Amino acid sequence: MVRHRTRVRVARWVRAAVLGGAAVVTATMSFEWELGRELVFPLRFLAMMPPVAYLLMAAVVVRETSPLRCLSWAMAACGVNAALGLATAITLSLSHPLSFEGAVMRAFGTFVPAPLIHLVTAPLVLLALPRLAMPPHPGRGRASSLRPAAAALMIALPNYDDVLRPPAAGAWSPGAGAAVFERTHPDDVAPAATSAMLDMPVVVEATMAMPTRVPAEPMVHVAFDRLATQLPPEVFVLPPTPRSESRLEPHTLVVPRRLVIPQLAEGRVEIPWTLLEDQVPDLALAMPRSEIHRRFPDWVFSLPMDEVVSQIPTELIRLAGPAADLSGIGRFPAPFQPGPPAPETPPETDEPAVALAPIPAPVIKAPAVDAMPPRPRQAAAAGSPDEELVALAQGLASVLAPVPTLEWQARRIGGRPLVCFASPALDRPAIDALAARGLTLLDRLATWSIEQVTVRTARTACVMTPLASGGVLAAAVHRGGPVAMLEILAARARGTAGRGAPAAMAPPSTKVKPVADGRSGRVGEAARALEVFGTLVPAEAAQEGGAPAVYIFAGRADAALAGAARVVHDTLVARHDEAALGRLDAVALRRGRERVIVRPLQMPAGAPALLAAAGEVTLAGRAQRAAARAATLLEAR
Amino acid sequence: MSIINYAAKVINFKLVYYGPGLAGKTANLQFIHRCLPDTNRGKMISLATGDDRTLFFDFLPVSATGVRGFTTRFQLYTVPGQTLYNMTRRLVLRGVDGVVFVADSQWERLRENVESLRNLDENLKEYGLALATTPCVLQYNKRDLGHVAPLDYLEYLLNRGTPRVPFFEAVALDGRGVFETLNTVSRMVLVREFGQAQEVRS
Repeated sequence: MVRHRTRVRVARWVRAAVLGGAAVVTATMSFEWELGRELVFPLRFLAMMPPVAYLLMAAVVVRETSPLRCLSWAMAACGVNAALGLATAITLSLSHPLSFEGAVMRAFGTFVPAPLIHLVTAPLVLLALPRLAMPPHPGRGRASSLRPAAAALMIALPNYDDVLRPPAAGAWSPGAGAAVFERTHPDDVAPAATSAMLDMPVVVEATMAMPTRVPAEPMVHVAFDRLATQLPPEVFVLPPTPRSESRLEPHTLVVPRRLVIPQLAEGRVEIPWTLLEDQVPDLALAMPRSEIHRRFPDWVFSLPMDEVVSQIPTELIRLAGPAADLSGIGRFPAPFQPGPPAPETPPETDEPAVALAPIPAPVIKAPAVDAMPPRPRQAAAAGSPDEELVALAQGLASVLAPVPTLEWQARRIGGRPLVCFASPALDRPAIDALAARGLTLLDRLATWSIEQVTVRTARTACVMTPLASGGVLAAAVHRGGPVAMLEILAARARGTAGRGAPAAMAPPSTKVKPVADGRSGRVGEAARALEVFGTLVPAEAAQEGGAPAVYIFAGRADAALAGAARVVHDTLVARHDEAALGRLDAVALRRGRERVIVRPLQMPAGAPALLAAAGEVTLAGRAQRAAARAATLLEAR
Repeated sequence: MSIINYAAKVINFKLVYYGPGLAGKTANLQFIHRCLPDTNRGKMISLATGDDRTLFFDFLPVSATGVRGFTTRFQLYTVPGQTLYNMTRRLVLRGVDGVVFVADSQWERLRENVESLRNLDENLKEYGLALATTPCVLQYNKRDLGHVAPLDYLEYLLNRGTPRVPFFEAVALDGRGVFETLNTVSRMVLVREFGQAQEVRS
């Protein structure tokens, strides 16, 4: 605030100096160019003119002041006038071959334009210096102190002080021109303001006209800056810093302690805006107070507790109740004796879903025959499975026990276990081959962190799940069998430690472009049919070489999705054993809540093509049906 | 309510660390877990989100001194502090024997402390318990931070009951005040269970 005031005062002095300098230069140049040299006024008239004119001006501009104040203002103006005359005389003596006495004579009388210029300029200079213009005058209303000329100058030379000063109680010094009100003693007015705060509503004009003193009440002072974030910026016309300076008590808000005390037990102190608004001047507000009340009816300030509590006497918050009685506990030794802290290791964490529905431990424990459904029976194992493989398979068998009549085979492919469960009636070699291809698919999409792959054909459904140990669990049932249950059980069997890390290969990069008729035509219809996947952007990866064309339906034109679809084509579609398993309908990849469904398309031209739809799906069956419908639409394209 | 296994000569007590979110309840249990010897501690289960907020509860079983030939075991629980999970908090409080209220000493968290304490009182009433009669210790955590409320005011805010409960200043991350709190509430639970005149075998 002090810096701001200094800045304003310097600006006023500069403004006055510029005005005075302009007058001196004008008079000197007029003499140089012999402008108005023909004018001749009696010297006596010229000598009497300033005091008379200034007295009249004082009476007109500040008509409510006493004659003594008019006189003092006129004398100040005469002083400025004389100073301007002297300055003009000096410049004349320096710029012309005149003696100083001769220059004084010309500046004050013989060259008539000079005294006339000084006569006009002196009040303007005075208006630019409000403290010189007006001595302190308690009890003046701001509006009544302004004359039109002064108001005009205020408009021409904007002065933020006019905005910054609060229109509240105090002793004011109405100034000319800028119409600035100076509070002579801030401390004197605080009680009056708080009185207004407590006894709402209070007429501000009345407070201004007759500042009242009330008995000093304990107040809490809060830095206005601490509340700045709670102020809707649209309410104020000033940026934060001047807004802070515009307070009745600059930079602070004052709140009666008696409003604060009852809220201390709540851990926060909230004061309604209506109790604080008097501390903000009207001119600092961008809208009428009534509008603020309408738009922010429940606007409250949360006061910073550290500032508040530091101003509360300790005796008010010191507890007088008895301290806790701990005498009895001395009979028991401390139950826990800590040792040195062990190195910090994260505690065992589980995924929430797992914790709420714990998975069976992958440890073989033969269930009671009566208590459990029949466990999957072991079919002839390929080769001679090691004990670890058998244990793994038996553990998985217990997890899949709710699905009856499954037989399993276990083997290692590239050192990684592959345990394949299948209904006895299915073509076992074909299922095993499908599972092996699934292992390849999971390896090639390792960077995608696929959690499960479900292959649906005309005769069977096979669920393939990568295991935490690095192997793969494959389970196949007849088409129409309990595929959903199989997916759930296999997911439980998957473990929580994440998949082992096979050689990771990213899907090949594929060029993708949005489909031209993405909003209309068959592709648009297909996109609408797939709305269960969310908002989709149809895109297309053109056929290139042996790679099939891919119609992509995802949230964006996803090149990786097209690449993944082609990996599915390479590993599963192109090598599919249709004779043993029936036509391949769809391959669903599950990744968290996201599902990717890839369907081979039977295009009229016979060229290989795929549909790939991706999105977060909660209704898996509906998504499958939607993909089938979309595929039909595309095949008819 | 303590659970006594006469066959195994074991008494189980349940202590719940209560308080607003991010006040340091889990940090208390983690420090206890780190400092107790393996023979005295079980496996700590913690279900937390990525931003260190407890999602369900933390659980740490610890065993302690023997009393009247029984081994005492304390099951330490925390609750999720967020307002949203009141049902979980209420469930965790079922059968509680002692409570540690972990308060966040920072100025801007005072209101949440008050609300959490009120919530504790309400949830205890659901089980016919009351703060005044349940062994309880206040822990003013995060005392190492710069922007914390003075003890006088924290006591005024959270410990105005009659009689007042024991309180400790703490920095749970460093272990300051953690075991003082745990030992005090444990002993209060033991006093309540066995009375003050029982002989104690360490």
